[in-house]
Amino acid sequence: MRRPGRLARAAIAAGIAVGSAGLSGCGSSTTTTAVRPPALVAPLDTSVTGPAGTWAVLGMGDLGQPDNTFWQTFYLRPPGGQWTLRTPPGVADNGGLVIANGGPQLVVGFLPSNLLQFSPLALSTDDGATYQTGLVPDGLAAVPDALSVSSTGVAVALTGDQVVTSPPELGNWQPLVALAAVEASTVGRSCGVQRLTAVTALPNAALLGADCTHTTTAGVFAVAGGVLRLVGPQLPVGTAAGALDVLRLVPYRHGLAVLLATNPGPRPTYRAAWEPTLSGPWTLGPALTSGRLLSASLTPAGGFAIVTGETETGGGTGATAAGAGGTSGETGATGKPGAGRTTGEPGAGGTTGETGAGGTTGASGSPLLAAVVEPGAAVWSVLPTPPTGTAALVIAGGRTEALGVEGAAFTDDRLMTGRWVAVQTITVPIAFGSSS
Amino acid sequence: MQGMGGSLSNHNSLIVAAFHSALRHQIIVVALLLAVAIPAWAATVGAGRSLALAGGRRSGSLEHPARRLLRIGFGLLWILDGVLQVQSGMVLGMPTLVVQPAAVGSPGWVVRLVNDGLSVWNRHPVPAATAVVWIQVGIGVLLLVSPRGQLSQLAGVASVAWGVLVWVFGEAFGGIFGPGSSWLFGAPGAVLLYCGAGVLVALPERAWIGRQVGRVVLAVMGLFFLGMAVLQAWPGRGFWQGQTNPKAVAGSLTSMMQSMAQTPQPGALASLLHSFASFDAAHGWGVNLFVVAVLAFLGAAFLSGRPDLVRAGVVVAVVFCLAVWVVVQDLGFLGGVGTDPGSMIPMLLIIGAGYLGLVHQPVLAAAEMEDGAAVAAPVPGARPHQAPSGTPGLAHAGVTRALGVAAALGAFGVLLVGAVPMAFATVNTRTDAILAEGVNGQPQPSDSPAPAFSLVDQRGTPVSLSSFRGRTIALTFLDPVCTTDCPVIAQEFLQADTRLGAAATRKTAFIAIVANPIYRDVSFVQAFDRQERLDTTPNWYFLTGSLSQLTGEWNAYGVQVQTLDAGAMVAHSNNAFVIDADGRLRDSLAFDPGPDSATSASLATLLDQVMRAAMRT
Repeated sequence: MRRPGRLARAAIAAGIAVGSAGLSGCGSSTTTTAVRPPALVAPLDTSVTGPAGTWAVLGMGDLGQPDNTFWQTFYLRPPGGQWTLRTPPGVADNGGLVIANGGPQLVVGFLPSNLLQFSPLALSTDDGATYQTGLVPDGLAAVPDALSVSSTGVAVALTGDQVVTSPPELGNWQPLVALAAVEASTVGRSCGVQRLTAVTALPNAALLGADCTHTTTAGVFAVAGGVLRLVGPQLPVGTAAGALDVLRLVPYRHGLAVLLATNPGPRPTYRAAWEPTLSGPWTLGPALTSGRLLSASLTPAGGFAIVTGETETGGGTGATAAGAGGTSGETGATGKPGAGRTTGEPGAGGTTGETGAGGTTGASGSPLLAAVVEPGAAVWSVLPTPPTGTAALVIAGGRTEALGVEGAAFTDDRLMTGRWVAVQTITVPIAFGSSS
Repeated sequence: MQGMGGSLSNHNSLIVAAFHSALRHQIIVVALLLAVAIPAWAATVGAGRSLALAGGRRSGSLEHPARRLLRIGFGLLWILDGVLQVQSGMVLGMPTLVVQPAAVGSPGWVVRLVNDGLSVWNRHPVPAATAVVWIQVGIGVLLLVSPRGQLSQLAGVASVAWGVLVWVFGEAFGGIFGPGSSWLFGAPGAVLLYCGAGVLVALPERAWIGRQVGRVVLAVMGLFFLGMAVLQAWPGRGFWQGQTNPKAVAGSLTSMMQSMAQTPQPGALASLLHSFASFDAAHGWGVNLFVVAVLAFLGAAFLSGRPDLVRAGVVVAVVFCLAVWVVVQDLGFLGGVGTDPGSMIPMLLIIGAGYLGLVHQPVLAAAEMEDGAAVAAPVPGARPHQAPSGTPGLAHAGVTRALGVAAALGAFGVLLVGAVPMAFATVNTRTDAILAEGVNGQPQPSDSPAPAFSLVDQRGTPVSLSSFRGRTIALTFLDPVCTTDCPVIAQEFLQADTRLGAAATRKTAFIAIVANPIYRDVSFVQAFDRQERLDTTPNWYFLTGSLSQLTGEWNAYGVQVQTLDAGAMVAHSNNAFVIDADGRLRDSLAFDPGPDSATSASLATLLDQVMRAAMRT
C-alpha cells in the first residue's frame, strides 16, 4: 500500500490528536439539565396562637444536613410567659413536625424520615408537659396543615396521596378521599388540581386545600357525605386564570383562614382570605408580592404573619403590596428598602401599624421580610426587618416576636418601639449524629 | 448505641489479619509452583545458550530486543503491582481510597459500572484482595518465564485481559470521562499501557521482522503525545494557573501536588513536592507552557519516524517522564494504598520498545521461527552470519520445550491461585461474615439458660420463651419507630431466615422485643412489620408489653435503652442472641449494621452461620 504524503500524514495526525484530546477531555463539566422552579410549599416553620397559648415549630441544628436537622416545638403560656421546649420524645423528627391545635388536645405528628415511613403521633392535654402516643399508618405530608383535629376530636390527615380521617381516639384511620379522585372530579378538573396541600377538620366536614394550575377560584374543597364541592375564595374580577396555590388552610375562632399564592416562582404574590362563619362569603385580603416563603404563622385574630426570603434576583426592590380587592399594583404602602429597623409599634391585638420601614434588603443587609395581614386590613403591614436567622413570627398577647434559630440556639426577639430586642435564648440539647 | 454508626476502619485488625492469613496459606502453594517454574525457566535459558553455542551463532536470545524489553519490563511491573496489593490497607481501602475516587466526576454510567465491579470486592474483601495479588504476580512471572512461542503470546493475552478489567473497574477508564484528566496525572490510565504492551507481546514473532512494529508504536505514541499536548493546552481546565493569591483557588496541577505532598512518604520527597508545588503556584502559566511544548515536541518527534529525531525524543522523554514520575506522580505507589508505580515507567518502556523496533534488527530474527524451522531468506539490512555447522538434536529441543512448558504452567498456576477464588467470589452473592465481625467483633459463645420473657406478639397473642421450646431462636431488640438501624437489622433477620430455608421455618424463630419505652403499643409493631414486609413471615415475632415488662427484659439481656431529648430517637444498644432449642443462650452478638450495605448484609451471613451451628448441637 502506498504511504500517504507528508502533508496528508500531518493532517491525519492533527485530526487524530485533536480527537484524542477531545475524547480525553470529554469529562469536562457535565451539562446540567434545566432546573424547574420549585413548587411553592408552605414551610414547616410556623407558629399558632390559641386560647391556651402559642405553639411554635422550628427546624434546628445543622439545617444543611437533613440527618442533623431536628425539629422542635416550643410553647408560650399566656400571658407574659417564657418559651419552653416541649418537643415530644421517643421518635427522631428529622423529617419535620406538624401540629394540630384545633381540638380538645394538642396533636403533634412526626413526618417520615430516613427509613421510617409512617407517622407516629404525640398527644397532650397538658400543653406538652406529658404526651401519649398515636399513629397515622401512612406518612404525613410535609406541609404545616397536614394534620387537623376538629372541636369534637375528629381528625383529618393528609398523607402522600390521600386524605384519611379518624374518630376522636385517633386509632382508626380510614380513607376519606384520594388525590386521584379529587383530580378526576368535575370540580377538581375545573381548577386543574396538581396536589393537595392542606386539610382542616370541621365537626361535619373536612376541607382540603390544593394547588391548582388554571383557575381564579382557590382550590379549597369541602368533603361531606362523599360529595366534593369547590368552596374556595375567588380572585378579584378581571384576574386572569392561572396557577393558584393554597399554602395554609386553618380554622380560627369560628371561621376559616386561607393563605394563597399566585405566580409561583421567584416572587409570588401572597393573599389571605377569610370566611368568618363557615357559611360564606369569603373576604379577600390585600396582595403582597415578595420572595420565597420561609414561614407562615397564624395570629390569634386569624391573620397571617409571614417571613419571606430574598429572591433569585437578590432581593429586588422591596415588597410591593396591593390593596384588598384591587388588582396587583402599588396601591398600598410599600416597604422602604434600606430604612432599617425603625418606627412603629405593635398595635393592640398584635397587629402592626404602618411602619413604612424594613423591606427586603435593608441597610442591615438582612434578606428577610416580615409582614402581617389581619382580617379586614387594607394592606399588609411590613414589619422592621427581622433579625438574621428568623424562622417564624409570633403575634400573641399584644406582642410581636421573631423566633430565630442558629444551630442549637433558639432566640426570641420582641418588637419594641420599632426595634427588635432580644428577650430570650434557649440552648437546645440536640443530639447531633444520633440519626446517622 | 444505635445511631452512633459502627464504623469499619481501613486497617481493621480482624480483617487485615484474615487477609494476611489467607496470603500465608496461599503463598505455600505459590512457592511450590514457583519452585517448578523458576528452575524450569533457568534450565530453559541454559539450554538455549548451549543450543546457540553449539550452532556457532552469537549467544543470547533470538527474541527481538524490543519485545524482550516489554516482556521483562512489564513482567517485573506486574509482579511489583502484585506485591503492592499485599499492603494492609488494600483489603478494605481499595474500594474507598482507590477505585471510587477514580470515578469521581465521571458520568453516572461509569460510576454504576465501577460500583457493580466493586460489589464483588465489598462482599468478599479477603478473597478479592488476595486474588489480585496472585493474578498480577502470576501474569508477571508468566511473562518472565515464557520468552517465546505461544505461551509467551498467551502471557501477552493475559496481560491484556486483566489490564482491561483493571482499567474499567479499577481505574474507571483511567479517569478519561472525569474532569481534570491530564497526562501529568496518568491519563489515560497506567494499566492501559500494560494492555498495549500485552498486545505487542501477543503478536506473532514474524511481526517483529522489519521495522513496522517500531514505526507503528512510535506513531501511536506520537499521536498520543500530540493529543495530550492539546488537552494540556486547553483553556479553562485549570492548568494555566498556579496560585499567586493564597485565597484564590489553586490550579489543577498545584492542588494535585499539594495533595500528593500530604500522603505518607519520606520527608525528602515530601519536601521536593512542596517545593515544586510552590514553584508551580508562582509560575503556573510557565510550567504548563513548558509541559505543552515538551509534549508537542515528543509527539512530533515520534510521529516523524526519523531515527535522529526519535532518538532525541527518547532522551527527552526519559528525562521528562522520570521528572514527572517523581515530582508530580510522587512515584505512584506511596501512601499505603498505591497500586502501581504510575504511568511514566510503563510509558518509557513502550517508547523504548518503539525505538528499538525502529532501529534494531536482530541478526537471526528470520533465521528461526517458533517452530524451530529454518528460513532461507535473510533479513534486509541484517549483518551476515555464519551458517550453522550442524542441526541441533531434536531430543535436546524437545527437552527445552518441555522445560519451557513446565515453567509456563508453574506461572499459570500462580495466576490460577488468584483467578479461581476471584471467579467464585464473583458469582457468590452472599456477603462474607467477616465484615460484620470487623464492625462488631466475633460472636461471644455462651452456655447458660436464656432469660425468660412473657410478652405479647404483633397479633396481641401472649408468648413466652417456653412457647418456643424446640426451636432455635434469633433474638434482638428493635425500636418500632426507629429511622435508621432497626429496619436494617430486621431485614438482615429476614435474610438469615430466608437462607435457612423453608424447611427450617418450623425449627426457628426470629424474635424482636420492643426497645422504646414510649412507642411500644402493638399498633407500632404492626406498623413496623407492614413497613418492613415482615407481616407475612410466619416465624417472625415482634414482642411488646408493659413498660415494666420491657424494662425487665432489657436488663436481663443487658440491653441499654435511653430516651434522648430534642427530637432524637431512643438510643439502644444493638445486640442479637442465639438461643438453642432447649432454651439455652448459645451466642451473643453485637449487631451494628455498620456504615454501608455490605456490612449490614454481612450480618445476615453471620447470623445464618451462628444459627446453623446452634441447630446442629
